[in-house]
Amino acid sequence: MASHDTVLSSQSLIATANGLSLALTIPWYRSLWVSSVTTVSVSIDGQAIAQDALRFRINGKSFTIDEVPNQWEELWFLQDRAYLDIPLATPGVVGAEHEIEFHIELRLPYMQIKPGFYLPNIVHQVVTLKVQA
Amino acid sequence: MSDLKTGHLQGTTLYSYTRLFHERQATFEELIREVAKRGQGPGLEVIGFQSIRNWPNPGKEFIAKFKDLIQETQLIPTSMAVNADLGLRRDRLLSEDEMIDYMAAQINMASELGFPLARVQVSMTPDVMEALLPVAEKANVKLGLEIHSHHSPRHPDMVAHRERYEKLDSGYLGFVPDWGTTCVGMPPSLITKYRKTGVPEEMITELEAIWQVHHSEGAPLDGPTQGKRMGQIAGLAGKYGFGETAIDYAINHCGLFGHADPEEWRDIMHLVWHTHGKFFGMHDGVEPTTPIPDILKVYADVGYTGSISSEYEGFHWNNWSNPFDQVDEHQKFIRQTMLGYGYEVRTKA
Repeated sequence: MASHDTVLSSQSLIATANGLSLALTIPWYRSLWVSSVTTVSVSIDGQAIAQDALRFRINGKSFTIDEVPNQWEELWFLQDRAYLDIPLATPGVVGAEHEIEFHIELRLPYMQIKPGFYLPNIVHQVVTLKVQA
Repeated sequence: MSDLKTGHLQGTTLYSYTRLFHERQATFEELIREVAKRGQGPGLEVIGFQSIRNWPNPGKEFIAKFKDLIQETQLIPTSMAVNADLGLRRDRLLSEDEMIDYMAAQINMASELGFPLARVQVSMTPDVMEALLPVAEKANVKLGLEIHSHHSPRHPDMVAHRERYEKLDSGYLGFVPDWGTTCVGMPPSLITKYRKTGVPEEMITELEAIWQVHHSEGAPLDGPTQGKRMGQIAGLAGKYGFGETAIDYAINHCGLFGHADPEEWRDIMHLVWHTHGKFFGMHDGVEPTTPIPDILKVYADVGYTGSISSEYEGFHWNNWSNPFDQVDEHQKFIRQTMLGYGYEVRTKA
């Protein structure tokens, strides 16, 4: 529904010292607690990145994917970017192009449809992005 | 000497301009100034968890700046939309006491910012609403439970709220009607978007046909009916190879474009002080999806003098229209319609 076309932009792929980082806009119309992120995964040029290698970085803090569900006091503000840090064998190369397959699922904590089941928002994007400085 | 009666207070919600804010094309302050400049107030509605950093604890500096901005723009705060994040923890639901604290913080901040009403959502039970009544009274903030599709005024959950509010007769517990509850079709701009993104004509035809079947059956009054309808839409999307996003189609079709009769609003108008004038897109000066003249007939008949926020929601799929232009057209149509019913809409503070 909302905001599927805004989670990644042409500026989202960023070079880091040990790989790449994806700048994410929250795919919803309001800020949500980080605990609302139920799934996040990424493949680069067809290569799936292991979940335990990823870091979810926001508000100056960095979390493993396992730690994300417990972050219910950490707010992902609508205008802020969260970063998915992706370690690779070599540093990111500015200007290089990569095919990014990105998947994120949210559970909306104020919309419980039935006990234990929350309205989700699911975004799946396959885009080619140029690495930014 | 005009013999027009005084109508409702015109206004808008910053939700209408979500796309501009979300994409960082405009700041909170810039949106408010544009609302004032375009004359889309004076009523101003804000979603705390959308617009305000560190909501509901934005800090003294923010509070002072907001008050100055309201003073300068002569806008009138109408509604602060708050959220009941019952499931923010993954291990358990918030307890009733935790939920009351969570809501009280938002209600108190709404009061401090000068909002006379807080919009609350359907995850609140009549018991929690009653427990919040002392908070609302102390803060002098009315609580308006939003009636949003797929719910409707005659849904048993809403009837239970209405009966409790009538019994308490507090003047602080009521409803915020959302006009998406009473639609007459699917928005043309959504169909346009489907075509742009390669949804086959056969699937669009089937989607519209199923919407009409659901419409002939009326708004769902229980969970299983709603679940069955969502399953139908998801199944259809799956059949055409859109299994990955089937839930989106189901949410759009069964959650946004409600099937209730506008006459149902009459049941609750004695408990309404603020309204979400939901619309999905103006086309040649009219809104084809929400039957504004039929809805406003109810408002005119009861002599409604509360506020109405024009709430543009086509932005979910429409990335080509300017939301400020959309709100302009919507408000113009509402003013004309109310004139026809003998009312002059209030457009000045």
